[in-house]
Amino acid sequence: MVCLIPGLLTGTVSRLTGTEIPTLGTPLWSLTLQHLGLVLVAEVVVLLIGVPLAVVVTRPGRAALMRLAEAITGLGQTVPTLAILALAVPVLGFGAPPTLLGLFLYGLVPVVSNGIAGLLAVDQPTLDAARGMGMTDAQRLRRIELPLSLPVLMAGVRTSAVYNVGTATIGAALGTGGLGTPIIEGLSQQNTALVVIGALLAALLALSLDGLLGLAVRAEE
Amino acid sequence: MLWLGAAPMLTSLLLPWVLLRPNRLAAGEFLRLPGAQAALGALLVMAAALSGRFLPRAAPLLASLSLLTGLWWLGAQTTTALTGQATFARASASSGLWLWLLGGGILVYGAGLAARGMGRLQVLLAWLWLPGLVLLALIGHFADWSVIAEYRVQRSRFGQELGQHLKLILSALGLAAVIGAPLAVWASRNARVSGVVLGLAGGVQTVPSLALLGMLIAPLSWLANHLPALRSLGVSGIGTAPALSAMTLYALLPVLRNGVVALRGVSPGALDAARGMGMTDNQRFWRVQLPLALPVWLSGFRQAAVMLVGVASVAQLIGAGGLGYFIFSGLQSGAADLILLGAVPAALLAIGLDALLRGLEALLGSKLGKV
Repeated sequence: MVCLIPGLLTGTVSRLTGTEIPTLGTPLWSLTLQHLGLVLVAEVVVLLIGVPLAVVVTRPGRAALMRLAEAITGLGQTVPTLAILALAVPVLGFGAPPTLLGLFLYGLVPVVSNGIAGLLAVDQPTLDAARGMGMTDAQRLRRIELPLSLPVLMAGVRTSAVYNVGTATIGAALGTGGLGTPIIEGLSQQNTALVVIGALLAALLALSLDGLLGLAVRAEE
Repeated sequence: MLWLGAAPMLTSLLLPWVLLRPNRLAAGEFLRLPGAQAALGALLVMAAALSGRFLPRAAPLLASLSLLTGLWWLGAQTTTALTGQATFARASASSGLWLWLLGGGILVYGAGLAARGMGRLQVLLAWLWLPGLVLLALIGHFADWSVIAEYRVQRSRFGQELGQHLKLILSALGLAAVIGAPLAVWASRNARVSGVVLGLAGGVQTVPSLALLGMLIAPLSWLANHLPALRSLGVSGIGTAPALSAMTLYALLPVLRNGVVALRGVSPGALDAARGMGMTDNQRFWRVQLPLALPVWLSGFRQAAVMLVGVASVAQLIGAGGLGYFIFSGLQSGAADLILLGAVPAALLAIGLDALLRGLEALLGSKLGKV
């Protein structure tokens, strides 16, 4: 969270690398918030689509559907991020929409695969006991399966959020803003200090998100 | 599941298939599929989807044919659109075609899964579209598609950048193997070393690829300025050297992590048996532990290779070339065809490498036995 104090970081890095840092059009804290916003919006969409998807494909008798879901989300992970972002530009134009699409596709994999793994790991005797208590399918899902698979699912959410902090920097190449902006500016002006600032902030953001989500999981337990 | 593929395909028949533009940058008009062909397509897709229920043996063939039809139309419709147009005119694929190909992919995947229980012929039929696609490409069926038109303009550059892309990936993988393999062996025997090594490699991974590329510019240009020997080897602040260093650092984590997991995962029983047979420590490592660990270790290389395809496409930003050249120049000039010329091969390269190494893993796994 130190990263949000303006001026401090710029001064330190500038002294360390011995280079003058040009001021950016947008202040760093606002770029950081922009970056965080992109990642969070993508993450919410990922959760809204990924969790129901994992639930639907793990219902009994849907093994083929499950493999399809894993194959498609796996494909999203395999195709290079820049390629996804660039392919989306002719359709969605420049700016936030293609980046959000890329973040969504990229973030979906860990959530869906961990969701599936978590739901499959709920052991059969527990489910049988719940059925024996007279719970309906919906009740079992809500009271037994989802709570029991939550830790595994949250691990997937953590991975996906941390990866997406890195992925979102590439969005700056499409004019999305965020912490990729100082990096790209630094690259084109041959100014390492700018690159370092963007990188440091992005890495710090990734680590703090990871830590926060870790705390949330522990509080849950 | 076949319906899941058929639904987007049927929808796609209502959407525009071809975008015709007077030149590569201008706005254009959308063309739909002619009614007769759309009806034919709808029939074929319905047949493929229904066959899953009534005649499962025909499903793989029908699914393959449906996908191939879309590819055929890509070539045929762009050619039709361009007849009578000026030489600068471009015909590119539009939403309908992409949606058809997406649905076709799901259809073929579903049919292929179901075909596994039916015998070899059905599985092969589900893959029929692939030789069909290669054949269509070889006879120049796609010659009028705008991306191929762009390729003709950029032909020599394309070969060069693709070569550079591959060279970057393979050298980084090679370097990661040379550095990572001994480290992984060492770390697998020593808990403290593995903690430090995996922690460091994991830390590198949280730095965005874009930033890592940029941060290596300064140290490498310093090295090049102070050590003339390195500069004569071609090391400099921008270009291949920083790109290769960043990519190697990135590839290290999966190689190390899977190496440690794989080597530790070899069952103690097997190692004890080997010791009981009188093998020396060296023999046990080379003949028992390494072969048993290899399939899992290889999957680390696969993850690294797939990731490197992505990092290499960003490497253009520090002047290292690769397929990113087309993506970034396309983004700058707003030429969608140029973007596709970089992005489509990059995507195919990643998918191809993934499939190839997965195959190798399966082969090694069945030859050497599972850990």
